[in-house]
Amino acid sequence: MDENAARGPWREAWSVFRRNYAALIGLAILGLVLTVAIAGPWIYPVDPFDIVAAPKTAPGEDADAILGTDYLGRDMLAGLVRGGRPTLMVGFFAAMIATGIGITMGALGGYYGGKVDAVLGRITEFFQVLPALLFAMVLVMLFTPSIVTVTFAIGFVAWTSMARLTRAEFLRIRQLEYVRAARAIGSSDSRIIWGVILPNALPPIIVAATLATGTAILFEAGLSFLGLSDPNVMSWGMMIGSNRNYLREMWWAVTFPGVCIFLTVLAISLVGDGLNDAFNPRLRTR
Amino acid sequence: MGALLEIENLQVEFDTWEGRVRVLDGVSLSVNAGETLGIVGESGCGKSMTALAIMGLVPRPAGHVTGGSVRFDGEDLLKANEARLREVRGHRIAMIFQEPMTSLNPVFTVGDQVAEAARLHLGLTAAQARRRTIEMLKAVHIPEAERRIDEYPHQFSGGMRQRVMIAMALVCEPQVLIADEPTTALDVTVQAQIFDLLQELRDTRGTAIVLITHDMGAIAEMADRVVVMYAGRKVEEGAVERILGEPAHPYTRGLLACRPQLKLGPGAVRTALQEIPGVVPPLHLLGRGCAFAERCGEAMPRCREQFPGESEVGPGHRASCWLLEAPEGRRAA
Repeated sequence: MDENAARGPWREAWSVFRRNYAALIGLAILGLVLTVAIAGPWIYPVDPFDIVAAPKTAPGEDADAILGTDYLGRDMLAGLVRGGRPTLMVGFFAAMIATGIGITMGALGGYYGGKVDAVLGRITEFFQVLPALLFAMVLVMLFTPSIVTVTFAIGFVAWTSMARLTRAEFLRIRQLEYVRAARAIGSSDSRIIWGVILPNALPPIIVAATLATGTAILFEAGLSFLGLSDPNVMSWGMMIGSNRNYLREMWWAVTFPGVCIFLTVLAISLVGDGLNDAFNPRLRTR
Repeated sequence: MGALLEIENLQVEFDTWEGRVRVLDGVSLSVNAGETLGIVGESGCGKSMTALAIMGLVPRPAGHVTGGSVRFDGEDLLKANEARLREVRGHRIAMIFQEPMTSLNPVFTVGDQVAEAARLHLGLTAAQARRRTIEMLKAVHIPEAERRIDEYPHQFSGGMRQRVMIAMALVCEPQVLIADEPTTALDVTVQAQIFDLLQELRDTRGTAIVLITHDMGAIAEMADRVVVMYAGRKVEEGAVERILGEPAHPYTRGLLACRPQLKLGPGAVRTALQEIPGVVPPLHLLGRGCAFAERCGEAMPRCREQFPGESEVGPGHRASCWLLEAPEGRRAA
């Protein structure tokens, strides 16, 4: 490619990201997890709720369950393969919900300032001082625990930091010259908020949303560990939660899903950090 | 009079920690089609605020327009609602800013940004807007416009970015162009090119230009008429030859004396001193008198007590200074 060809800020960020090994490793792990989550159930078509062998079979003891069985005799490997999809979906959609609420609240508060900002700021603080896990538990218990309610509950308690971040970015950007210039050509408020300021505020928001996905996965695991998850959906968190009473006899039943969660969240964090470096011009070394 | 843009007795106030401050006090001026009006003064004298007030862009919630009128084509813009103002902005009255380096949005191509105004006001399709944008970029003499339309602002030099800003401002063929220190951030050679461009556009399109600057050289080169502002008030107004040749207000004389190579006026202008002592006073400390009195070599006791009215010193040439009032006799007032 011609070095002088038009290069947008996004392409520029990618060229920095590409040279960040940690971020690339994170991306690779994430890609692997996604592939297994999407294609796994076809490659390894065992129902994770089926009892395939004796309960508490250790890994390697039974050819029918290579990674052993849980306290009911259900195949661990099948659970790991099937558990990726709901775990990632809860993480992703909860982060989307949190980002959506956070961007809206932060953008309106930061752009309009004054009374709007004061009211939205108080609402944000109200949600911020509630203990997040407890609040999410209450929300899940109010409605029946299902994958949808868990997702919404997590999204609903996790948006405050996103709102504050967005607000700070809007406060900074709204006084820049190009925002005044946009107003001077007659752009409307909504056009300036979503079409002019938001695209410039996106880089840190994308980083935060990425990291929020990891946090949401941990949150889901936490809720599942406490028994607040969809009983009909096998997720990694639920595997840990349902086997937690046998933790001393069956190291594998909690270790394998735990490692999966750990690797996934680690991968997401590495990608998030990589994006942060790529978007932050001060850290760029050419 | 039927001027295209007529500002009368404009007052703007700001809420600050020191209380409410009047940043514009009774500013009146007018611009005709095809004319260039220069507004000069030091930093903080209210030039840019005048421009923002015309556009209805006085920063909220701190700033308030508290009086006067801004009549554009017979319509008082201060009474217009926000939707109407958005129609006027960019379409009828456009503005270019001081900092071409930061006036363009870094995440969009320059073409997108110029086309935005055209799509907003002229209802053009994307393809039409693109064609119009290329025309405009050519009109402001950006070489290889067809290629550069897809480039990002960081790929443009300061002078080229200011050309893009001008293209953006003129794409809807506005009747008034407000240029707020359009060349302050540019090299001298580039400055001259931008002025040539503005003059060319004014002559071919009949656009009225309000040129805001602190540079008397720019005024001499560009303006037909000049308004001199000091601490939120208009202190002198007149045709450019009058202002440069026979400045009536001590502040205007001071500004002219600050230009070392200027040799326009006879005798009186030739001061050895190349600066006006002191600075513009903080606006919250303004008394009732003339704000320039503290820095004025010719100040009299009454200058500190009362602001002078406008005196006619020549055809279309007015200034606000006690020195110009009929001497002795009527001093009691």
